[in-house]
Parts: sequence; structure tokens; C-alpha cells
Amino acid sequence: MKKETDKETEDFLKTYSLKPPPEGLKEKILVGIQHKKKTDHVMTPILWKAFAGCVFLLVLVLAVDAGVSRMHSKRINRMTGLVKIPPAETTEDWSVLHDILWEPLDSSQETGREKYYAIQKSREITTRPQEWRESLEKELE
Amino acid sequence: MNLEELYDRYGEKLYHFLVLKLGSLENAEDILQETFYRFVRYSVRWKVVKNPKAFVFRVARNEADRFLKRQTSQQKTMRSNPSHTEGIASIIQGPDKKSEVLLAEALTGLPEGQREIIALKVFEGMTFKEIARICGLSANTAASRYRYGLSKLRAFLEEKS
Repeated sequence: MKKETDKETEDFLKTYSLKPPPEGLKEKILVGIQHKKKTDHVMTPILWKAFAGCVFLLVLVLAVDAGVSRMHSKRINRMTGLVKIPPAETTEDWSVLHDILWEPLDSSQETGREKYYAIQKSREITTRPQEWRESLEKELE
Repeated sequence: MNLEELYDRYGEKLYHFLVLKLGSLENAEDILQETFYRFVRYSVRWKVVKNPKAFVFRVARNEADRFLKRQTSQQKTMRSNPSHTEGIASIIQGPDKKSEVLLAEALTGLPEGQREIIALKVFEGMTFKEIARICGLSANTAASRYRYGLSKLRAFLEEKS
């Protein structure tokens, strides 16, 4: 039985064959698989309940988050609405500049300016600087 | 391809491969069932699989490796385990019972990596490329393991004769 090369050993091994599997193995395997398929569920009832609970919590969190962000954005909009109001320095600066650059106001002009401040205080601060300037000029004239 | 068709095509070959790899008929049956169960459970789309033969052997091999890993506390190699020799001898058909047992002993004495390659090459007639794909090796490594295995077998058989 002396074999010199791999080829000889390979040929020797090939003189052997493999016996067929035992009778009924196929049925045994197939029946076993069907049985296992029935009993071995990936998701057990407890896992399904846990999954449903997680989904519910997720939906709840998303809904609460959406509500909170809507409220927050409304608040922000309100705040930014105030911020958008034109700054008062235009009119204030204008009146200061008027004081500095021009002659002092006479009594009628003083009255006009006081009038202007009174109007401005009573008015909602929504008018544009240009409009303020024009109305102030008119009042001062 | 349904399950029965799949079994008819590969069941027997996988069974032989698993017996030669694990050395036990019972374990081979269990792993064979587990392998086919995996195909059912994961609903394998066979049209997508390029080489179904290599694929089923690879799945069976992985399943057998998982099984062997679970048995780490037990003997890692099959050497000097007479039950494994008996298991392998029970599926080998040779000129006489004595030579069957002798070959089974020789195969049992090989490292598992070499034995599975010899099983695939000699008894399944696979190419080194196919074996490499199944075992996750390069074709060269598969070929060199095969040659090492053959030389060990040769040495064992010469010593015994």
C-alpha cells in the first residue's frame, strides 16, 4: 500500500465511496423542520407586547414634541415680531441731530416736538421711520 | 426551489460532508436539519444565489463550526476519539471493513481544516476554487491544506500497513 505521490493517494482515496444516508433521513429532516418552524417563533407574545409598547411610546413622544415645538415657534414668532419693529434711534437721533445742528427750537416748534413725543407714545410702534419723519416734519412746520 | 427539491439536490452530499467534518452521525443529522431550517427561516432567494452548491455547503460548514464552538469545553480535535472513527467508518464504503476503519482512523487523525478539504475534494469532486469559497480561504491555501492532508494520510496508511 505504498503511495509515493499525492496523485496515488488521491486515486487510492477515490476507490472508496460514501454510503447513502440512513433510510428515512429525508423525512426526519423535513418533518423536524416543519415542527421547528411551528414552535420556534422569532417574535414571542411578550416580545410583540414590548414592541407595541415601544411603538406607542414613540408615537406619544413624537406627538408631544410636535406640540411643544409648535408652541415654541409661536412664541418665537411673537418675540421676533417685536424685534422686527424698526428701531427708534432714527427719530430720536433725528430730533437730537436737529437740536445739535439747527438752531434751538422756538416755542411753537417745542410744542410740536412735545406733541410728536405724545403722539409717538400713544401710537403703536409700527410705522416706518420715513413716515415718522414726514409726520414729524409736518407737525413741526 | 422548495425544501424537498433542495434536499434531493444537496441533502445527501451535505450529510456526508457533515459526518466527515464532525465524525458523528447524530451531530451531522442535527446540523443538517439546522442548515435546512436556516434556508427556510431566512427565505433564501435562490435566483439571486450565484453558486447554490457552494452556498449550501458554506451554510452547513458555518453551522457545523458554530456547533463545534459550542463544544469548546469538550475535546477540540477528534483524535483518539473512537466514536468519531466509528461515525466516519459507518459512511465509508471500501473493499472490506478493515480498510474502511483504517481510512476512517486516518481521516479522524487529520486536523479538521485538512479533513474537510479532503472530503470536499475527493468525495464531492469540487475544485479548489469552490472549496476556497466554501471555507473562506484562498484557492492556494485550500490546495496546500489538501496536500498536507494527503501527505499525513499517506504517512498514516503506510505506517499501519
